[in-house]
Formats: sequence, structure tokens, C-alpha cells
Amino acid sequence: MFKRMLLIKLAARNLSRRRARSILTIIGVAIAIAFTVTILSISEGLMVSFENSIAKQGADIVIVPKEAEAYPYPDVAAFVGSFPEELLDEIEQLENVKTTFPVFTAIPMDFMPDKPGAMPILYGVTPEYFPEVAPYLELAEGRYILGSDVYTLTAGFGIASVAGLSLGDSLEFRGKSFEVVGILESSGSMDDGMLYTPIKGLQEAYSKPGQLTFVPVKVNDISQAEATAREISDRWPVVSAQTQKSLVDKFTDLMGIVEAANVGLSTVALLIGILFILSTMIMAVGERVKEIGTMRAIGIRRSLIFQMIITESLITSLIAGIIGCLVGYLLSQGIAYILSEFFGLTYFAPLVNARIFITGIIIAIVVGVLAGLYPAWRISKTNIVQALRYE
Amino acid sequence: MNDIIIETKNVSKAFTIGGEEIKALNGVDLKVAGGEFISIIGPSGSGKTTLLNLIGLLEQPSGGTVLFQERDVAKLSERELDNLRLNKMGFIFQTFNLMANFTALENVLFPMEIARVPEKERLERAKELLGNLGLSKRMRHKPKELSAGESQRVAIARALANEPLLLLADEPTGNLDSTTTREITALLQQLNEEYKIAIILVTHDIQVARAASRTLQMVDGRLDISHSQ
Repeated sequence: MFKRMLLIKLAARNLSRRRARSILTIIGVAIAIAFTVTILSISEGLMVSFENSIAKQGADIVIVPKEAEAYPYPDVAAFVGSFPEELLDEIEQLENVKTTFPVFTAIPMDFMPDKPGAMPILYGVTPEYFPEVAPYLELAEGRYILGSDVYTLTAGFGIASVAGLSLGDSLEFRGKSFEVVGILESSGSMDDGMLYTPIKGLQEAYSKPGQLTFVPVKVNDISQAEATAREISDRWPVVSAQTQKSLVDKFTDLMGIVEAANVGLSTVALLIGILFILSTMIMAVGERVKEIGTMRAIGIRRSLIFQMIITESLITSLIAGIIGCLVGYLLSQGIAYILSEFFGLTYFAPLVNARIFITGIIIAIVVGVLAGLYPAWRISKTNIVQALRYE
Repeated sequence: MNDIIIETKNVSKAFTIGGEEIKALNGVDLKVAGGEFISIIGPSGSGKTTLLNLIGLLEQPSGGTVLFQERDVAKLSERELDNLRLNKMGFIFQTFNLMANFTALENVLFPMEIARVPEKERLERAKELLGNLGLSKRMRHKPKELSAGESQRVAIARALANEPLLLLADEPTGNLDSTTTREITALLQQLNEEYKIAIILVTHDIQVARAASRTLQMVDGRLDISHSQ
């Protein structure tokens, strides 16, 4: 305890002696750590919302137009093509197919000209879609669309708040006016950016009657889902069928890549931090050779000198770590705010959790210790007589 | 009181500079008793500072033995040597070597802090020492705000902090003007008389050397007995 207080006092004195340099070093390291914390929270946030979007889906297989095979998602499908809904009658004849849910998606390009990111996906569905495929979507107010509706819509939480929608409002798409009859709770997934309409009305508005872009399928025997998906793709070449499991696997692969990128990024931040502090400490120690020689002559132990330098380095990096975490937190919140306020991407929430903060602080501690080791070792082993003679 | 504090027996110290061996010390025998004031004079390169470094346990001799209170210092661990320097010796340097970011008071407190003197006691002692050395009004000043003479007095107070048996001063007046030189010399004499601290003073200033009760002359790494008094 006595020694720790003394070390901290000595280190604080030395840091304040070269205040400008200490501050610059802290800023440099804090930027590296803030950057890491920001990227980590944003990528974790994205991952969680992807995961929510994909893993929660109640479908076993999804069918998309052949053109969307590589990216079997409803928004992509809306751009690249469609297929006739008669196909579903044939597909439902397959033994393992239990139910199909016809979906027609469209993307209104000029929905909110002042918020280019507020790009909802118009999701034409049947009423069964909610309880069967997306049971996690709960109503905040109003109601789900009904089978008897034509030009109504139930809005996702995010797009409703960005566009300031309330019940009874009308939104016009391709000349047709859709009345807002319901608004959903936030699901933390990409569904928050969708506007659900009755499929018939949407097909009519977009002059694609009887066309589908995306079909979630439920099967009887999940163990045969892969074979069934392959059979669908083989027999109806205009579509591509993929199991939910393969989508999750794709997602897991993607997550692996992101994780690796995060590790790489953290390592870079670590190296930048080490180099920053190392150069400052080497300089600081070089200026103090004589003083440290004097301390040794007075009877101060080598180990105390060593610890003094490490403490200095550690204090620098810890301050930088704390500042970096806070700035990173504010930065990611700011980015999330900008994304939702100006681009309408409300489903995306940066995840600032204890794990990311701890990562930031651990980086700081590792930086502090590693950057202090070499200067501390070098100065503490210096010969006293030579150090005293040093000018 | 008059026990031998430090004794060198036939000590030598050799350095290798550019592949050539140089004997800085060549068979020096010296006994320093408690309370004694010894000055060592000699031209530069005669080995005065090297001898002081050996006596100050800052380095080990190449040959011979150094005994500190009858213990062979070659057999002591680094930790024991650190403790002896901390508790039994005080160092005074030509360039003062104060800690730049510490006030005068903190500079004096520091060795006591390391030696774990209780806070109240060390504060009292530091203030008393600085007061005795005429620095009561300069305690809160940092070294750069002090004159050379004041700095050296702070350094002396620091050297006395842990109540050493032996004070080692290497050219303590080398950076001082003649008035201050006289002051510091008188001060050392006074400390020796009042506190009975043994002092070894290395200098090339004959006037300063005269303050000591015994003056030894060093030539070519040896103590020249004939010229010593």
C-alpha cells in the first residue's frame, strides 16, 4: 500500500512535469481505443440485429427468385426479379412442404427525399405471416393487416418513428394511398424498417399482380429440409430455395469474418498505443538518467525504479483507456443517432456492453505494461556511476 | 563513536577503455573512523571520485576489499547495499542532483519516505533540517527557483535526512562561487562538529580541503602519504 501510493505519486509528478507530452500521448492512445470501441460496438450492434432478423424467422426454407440466389433476402429479391404465385400450388404438393407464405416485396425509392437512408421495404403479406413467420413482431398500437384489407399498412417501429407515422395517416405508393392501421413494437431486427401491407394491394400498386419475390416455407420434417430445398430449386429453375439453417450458417461465416476483423482492429489499436507510449517513455527515461542514477545512489532499489516507470506508462494508458471508452461510447451513440435521425436506420443500435468496455480497458492495460517494460528494464539496469556522470 | 566505519584494503579499480586497461585505483588503504572529516585532493583523473564511489558502495573494486563496519561489501547483496546507502550514507554532488519536480521539502522527505519513516516524524525532521540550514522560507520552492547555494544546502539536508554515519561529497563546491563555497565549506565543518557525522570530501580546491581534519592527496590512483596531513 505504502509503495503503491509512492509509485503513483512519483508517476503523477513525472507525468505532470512533461504535461504537454503526456496529454498528447493520452490523446493519441485514447483515439486508438475510442476508434476500437466504436467499431466494436457498431459491428456487435449490426451482428445482433442481423441475428435477430435471421435467427428468429419462423420459416424452415425461403424461396427467392433465381436471380437472388446469392443473397436470398427480401430486399434484394425486390430488386432483381419475381416469380408467379401459381408455383406455390405446385410446390405445396411436395410431401415435405407444410405451408407456404406468399410475400411480395418492393422498395419505394423516394419515400423520404430528405432522409435518403429511410428506405423501408414494402412487405406485401397475408395475415398469417405475423403469427406463423414473424411471431416476434408485436403491436404497439392499432392492428395487424386483415385479409379483407387492400390498401392498409402496419408499420415497423423504426420506420414509423423516423417518418413520424401515426394511426390514420396515409402513405402513397405508385399512386395508391395506403392507410396506417397499426404500428409495431421494436424488435431490434431489420423488420423494424418494414411496412407491411396486404399482398394484393401491393402487387396491384406495383403492377405485378400474381408475382412473388420471397416465400417463407414451413416443412413437416425439418431433417429433410435440405433435400426439399434442393428439390424445389431443381424442379422450378426460376426460383432458388434455401434452408433457414444454411442462411444462419452463412451468417455465422460472416460473423467469423467480422470477429477476425475486430481482433485485427484491436491489435492495430494496441500496437498504435504501444508505439505512442513507448516513444514517450523512452524519451522521458532518457531525460532522467542522471536523476535515476541519483535515486539509485540514495538507496532506492532497482525494482522500485522499474515499477515507477511501469506505473507511469500504465497511468498514461489507463487514463487514455477510460477516455477512449467514453469517447467511443459517445461516438457510437452519435453514429446511431445520425443513422436513425438522418438515414432512418433505426433497427441498428450500437451495442455498448461491458464486454466492449472491458476490451478497451484491457487494451489499455496491455499497452501500458508492454510499452513500459523496455524503458523500465533499460533504465533500471543502468550502472549508477555512469548514470551519475550522464549529462 | 570512533569505530571504523569504512576501511579499504589494497583496493584497486581498473576500467577498460577502447581495449586498453586503465588503473583508476592502485592499492589504496584507507580507514575512516566515525566522526572523522577527511578531504581527498588530487588532479583530475587521479582516482578521487572512483575511490569515493567504492566507499559509497556505488560500485565494487576490481581487487582488494572494502569493509563497511567490518563487513566485506563484496559479499553483500544489492538489496543490502541499497539499504546501507539509504540508511547509513548521505551523498552530495557537484551538480546538486535534486529532483526537479519536487519542492525543496519533498526532496528532503523523499529518502525518509523510501526508508519508511512515519509521515509525522519525517515532516518534522525535514522542516528542522531545512530550518537549520537557513531554508525555512524556501521549503515550497522547486530547484529551478533556488540559487546554487540554496540548492546545495537542500541537497545537504537530503543527505542528512536518514541520519547517516557518513557523508560523501564529490566536489560539492565545484559549481559555486567563492562566497557560497566558503559558506558550504563552513557548513560541512559545522555538521561534522555538531552532529559528529563522518565526512569524506573530494575536491581539488585546497581551501575547501583545509576544512577537514585530515587531508589525503591522491596521485595516479594511489594515496600519496608523504603529502597527506
